Amino acid sequence: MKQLKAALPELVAIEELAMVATRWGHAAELANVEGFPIHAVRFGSGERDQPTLLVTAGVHGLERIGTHVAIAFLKSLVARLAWDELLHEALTRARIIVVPLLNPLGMALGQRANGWGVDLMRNAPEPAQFGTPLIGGHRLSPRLPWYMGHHEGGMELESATLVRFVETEIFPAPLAIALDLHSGFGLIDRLWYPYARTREPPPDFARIEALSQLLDATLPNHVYKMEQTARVYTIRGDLWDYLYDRKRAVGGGVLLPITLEMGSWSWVRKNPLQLFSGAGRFNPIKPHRHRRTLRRHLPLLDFLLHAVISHRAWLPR
Amino acid sequence: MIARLVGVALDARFAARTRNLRQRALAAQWIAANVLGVSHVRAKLDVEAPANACVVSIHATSLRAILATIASVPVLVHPATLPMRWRAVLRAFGVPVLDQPIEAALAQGASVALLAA
Repeated sequence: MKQLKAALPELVAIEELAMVATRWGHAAELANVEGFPIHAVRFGSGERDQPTLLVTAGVHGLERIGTHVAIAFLKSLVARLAWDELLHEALTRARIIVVPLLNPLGMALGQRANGWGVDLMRNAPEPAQFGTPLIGGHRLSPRLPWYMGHHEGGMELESATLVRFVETEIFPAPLAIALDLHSGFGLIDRLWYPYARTREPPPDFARIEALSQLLDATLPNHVYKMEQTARVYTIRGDLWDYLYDRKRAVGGGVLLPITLEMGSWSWVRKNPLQLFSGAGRFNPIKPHRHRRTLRRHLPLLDFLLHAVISHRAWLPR
Repeated sequence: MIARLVGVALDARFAARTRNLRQRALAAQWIAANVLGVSHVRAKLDVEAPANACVVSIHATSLRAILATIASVPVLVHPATLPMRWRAVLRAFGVPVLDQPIEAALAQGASVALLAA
């Protein structure tokens, strides 16, 4: 176990940051997976009916860069809270919640799935009946990637923890934007919105379009392409599809789950040798590229925070 | 657009592999919704699917209308009632159509749609 923990410097960084963050916010351990805790750090009002920005990362253990971006965001917040009065003021009107590492055991083991071979992003209950074969989720074997879990196994601890947390902490918000950080597909950075299980536009398509237009206007020349998750292939058991539908069924606010899929193929194109390492296919290896990735997404996170706070000005009713 | 439609057609080949006609009708619904969804068309009608399998008559003047109907209610369209071009397009997308007697479909719980002349 000690050896595994040594393979997870991200967890050490998160725990240090969580301790510092308690000066301005609240840190909690949501669950413990075989000795590996899942942490959540919250800033801002304790009232759950405030607009909320949720940032999650580390759902897939191989995609370490997502967790690194979340840690960079946390570091930036903690540093700014020491002097930035405007940020303090913003946090009286909104909440920021960061869950920087949802699958710590998978990351320690250096694998996409959790410790039991289950792909957490294909593990939601009531999975769609149809989807792209294999990559869209299967129940053949945990030895293959994209395994959804056993028919009667229920949800894995990590996914169940996220679902429970979102239901209690995020559902009461009038508007919540959930940004889930991933990497591994394509040459460009994409912002994916629901659904993953079907190419049908989601009921909140107009709101997503409004957010997309706001992003284009606010951050001209940004690097993101906004599109539906199912554009290329469809996924069964997607957690954000499940939570999006649950929130719509509960009513009382809007949840816009967005997945940031960092285009890791561009890193491989620039440095083809990293194709031969597991981590290299999903993460920038060269130090300068890693640093560039860490700073690249901070404007997006800042934009989303402002969009959440000022949602009355742009969100179609 | 073409790449996305190819993606739908590939997914459709796997979704419609079953021989159970009820499952094929559900697959047809999912595929039709996905074909329309590729062009951001949300064409589902807010209609209750019939509780029991039945034969329905549909009036459609375009392929898109046929797809919207299938996307709304899980049915297997009787291919003999379709113009040849529409039949070819549905086949290309992988939308399953009725390939057994109507009685067999009804017995397996799948509704059948006939295009009204």
